[in-house]
Amino acid sequence: MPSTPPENDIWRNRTYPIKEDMAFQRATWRAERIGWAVLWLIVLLALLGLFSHGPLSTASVETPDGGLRVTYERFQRNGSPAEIRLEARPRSERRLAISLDARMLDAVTIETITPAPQAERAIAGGIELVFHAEPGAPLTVRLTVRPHKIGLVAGAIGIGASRPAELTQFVYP
Amino acid sequence: MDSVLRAVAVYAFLLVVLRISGRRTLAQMTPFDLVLLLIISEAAQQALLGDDFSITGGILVVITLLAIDIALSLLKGYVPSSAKLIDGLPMVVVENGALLQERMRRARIDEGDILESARETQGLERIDQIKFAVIEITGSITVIPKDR
Repeated sequence: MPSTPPENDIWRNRTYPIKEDMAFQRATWRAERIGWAVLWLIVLLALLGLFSHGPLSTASVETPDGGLRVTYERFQRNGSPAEIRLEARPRSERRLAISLDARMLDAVTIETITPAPQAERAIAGGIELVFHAEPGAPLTVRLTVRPHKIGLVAGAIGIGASRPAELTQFVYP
Repeated sequence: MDSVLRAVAVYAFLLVVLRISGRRTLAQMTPFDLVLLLIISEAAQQALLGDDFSITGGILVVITLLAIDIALSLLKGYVPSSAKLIDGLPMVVVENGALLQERMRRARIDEGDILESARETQGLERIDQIKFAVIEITGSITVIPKDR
């Protein structure tokens, strides 16, 4: 049965066969334990969506007149595609014009628009997408966007001539 | 510019996270650890190159990683305390046949790990045949037998 040295001897610095620094070693262990807690915390926050795709990340805004609802990711990652969902409720219009402002277009690449718009055109301060609409039937448009600018990105999405909805996203590197 | 920043960020991240996980985590290469290491490298590779398939991009990342590595090794030479910080220090866990239990617990190794290393490297059978066992900065356990 191997013997156990007394407790106070355990942390004494040995100088042979190697030179120890037990104070440093114990500080390392403490830092390690804190590090583990941070790792677990990051996993938890990632599950909650702090790094995109999760409850903390999903957000939605409406235009002031309630004509368009925009559901988007509050947090996005650089180069990783995310969806923006636009829900419009046309009253009597057969054509809906949805506008995206230039700040947004500078920060993301729009990869797909479903359904495809009938027309896309440049307007002052952005672009406009024109969709065919059935009066009274809700119209849902999904945009797949790929951010290429890091940090806070602001944008505005509007419908027709009314005031647009403002949204802010944070893009992780 | 992008490639260099990516390489620096990933290098720094891996250095910190592997230091946090402790030296024993990946030092004992069980088959599972090997697979884990491959998955980690695969995940890091995406962050290093993104969707850049150019030879230039790959070369820049490799050069940057090696340059940081050389710079750090030079730093360790000139500032010994930085080596301590980056690599840690070796520690005695068996002294004259006695286990230093509390140290082993904190370093997450058990008697079995020490005996395994003793059998493998020295052909020893029992703890009391060991003069010193040391956890090295690589995470491996080296064993010095008692004089017979």
